[in-house]
Amino acid sequence: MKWLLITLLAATGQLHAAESARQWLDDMSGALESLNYDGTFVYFHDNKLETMRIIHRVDAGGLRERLVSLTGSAREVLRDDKAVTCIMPDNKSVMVGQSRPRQPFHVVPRDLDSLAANYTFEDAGEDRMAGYAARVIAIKPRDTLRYGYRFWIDQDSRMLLKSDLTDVDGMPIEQVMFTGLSIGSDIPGDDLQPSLNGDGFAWHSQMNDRPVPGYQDGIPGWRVRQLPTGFSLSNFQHKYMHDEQTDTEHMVFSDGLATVSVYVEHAGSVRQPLVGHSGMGAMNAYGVQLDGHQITVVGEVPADTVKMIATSLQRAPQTDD
Amino acid sequence: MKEKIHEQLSAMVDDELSDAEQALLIRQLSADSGLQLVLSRYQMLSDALRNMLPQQVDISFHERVHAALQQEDTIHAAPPADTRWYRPLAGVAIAASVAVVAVLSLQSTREDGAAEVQAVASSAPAIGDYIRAENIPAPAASMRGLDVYLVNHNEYAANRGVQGMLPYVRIIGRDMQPGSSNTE
Repeated sequence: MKWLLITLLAATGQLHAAESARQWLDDMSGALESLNYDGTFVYFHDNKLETMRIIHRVDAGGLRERLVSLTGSAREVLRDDKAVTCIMPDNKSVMVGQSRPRQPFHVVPRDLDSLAANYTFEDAGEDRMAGYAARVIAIKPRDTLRYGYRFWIDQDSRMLLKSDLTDVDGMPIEQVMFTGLSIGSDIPGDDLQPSLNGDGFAWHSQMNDRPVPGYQDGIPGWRVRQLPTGFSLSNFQHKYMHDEQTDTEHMVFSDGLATVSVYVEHAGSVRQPLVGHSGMGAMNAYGVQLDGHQITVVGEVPADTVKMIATSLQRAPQTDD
Repeated sequence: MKEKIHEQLSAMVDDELSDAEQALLIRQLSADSGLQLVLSRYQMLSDALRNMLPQQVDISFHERVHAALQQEDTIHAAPPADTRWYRPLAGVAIAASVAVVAVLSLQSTREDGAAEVQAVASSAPAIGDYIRAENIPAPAASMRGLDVYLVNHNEYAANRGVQGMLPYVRIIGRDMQPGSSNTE
């Protein structure tokens, strides 16, 4: 009886810790979205170190963000409620994509079981980071097909101060850490302006996230035979990714935390097709060509996961494409 | 003090630092380009000791970076029409980025057997100047071609809620690199 009570108490404690961890994550995602902040951070991956600055402002006019590299090329990303714009001076191009509303990390009860089947949530205690008192929250994967996370969260504002993306053993693959951060300050409009105006650059638009004529939206023409446990199709669209002549079939698979995109295009329409693996930090991509199509799989998951998905894709029986 | 930091850099290269020590060191690195250069050299030394260096990299490549930068316009990783020609490049680094990276002599063999030597240049020495030989077995086409997918994917990523705009650091960051699991 005594041992049963101890076991029950331990289980209850773990449950509370997991719920507390999820609450911290929920608060953090809200802070990232709703607070004004201006910070410098380092991005450490693959034994490389890069320094960047992020400026984030939310007011009656909506959301505006600017992310700029302080080392190497002066690449910038600008984001508001409608568009995300990437300015890449290295190849003299500007890419404009469609902005989508962010989903806060709000885990609804029905998702808990599926998330808990693949991850554990832990409150890993307190620490100090960038001059702030932080709470450390860990999300650990239960298998090798997805990554884990460790977040240092400011105890007052709930702002993210540092994040590690970790492998199944808890070893960091990518680290993002603020070295200076101003929270809640007024953000001058000038700080949100790009340092380059894109004159003389090639502009590419991805604003075409809309159904392609002739296709029935919602029915993928391809299917993945080997999908990691817990992943399911969360979004599907035909779209124009490169130009208005090239149809791309885009499937999004998610386990509630990790996300993998599968892009299928006619092989001849892709100028620089990826064949095999590519990766940077935690982001991995795998490309194959099948039946006259280029298949490109990208996601913040291990290399084996994108490869498994890419190499198990096949045409769905009902397609007549 | 300086000597201790150098010892820590060496330890970091050998994966012997604790998470806390590494976090502190990264903070110092971010503010000190000199330390970044030291780390880059430790990385090269470590790999040299483990016989992982690309065959044609020499220790003076930082100096050659600046010279080669003047010829940046002539730098090409591969003919766009055929990406297969540089598959035999196992053990050769192609460090690509903006005003970028390393100067490595690299030798490739076309499918018809003709040999060709090219240079990949960079503007300034940094940690990213050197890419481990183990990470570069067989590159595909320019990884910059993936930007269009990464930007689109980021907007759908389920975990954006917990990372805010931070996934875009990968767009801002350097090129994706061909990985060791490339089997094509």
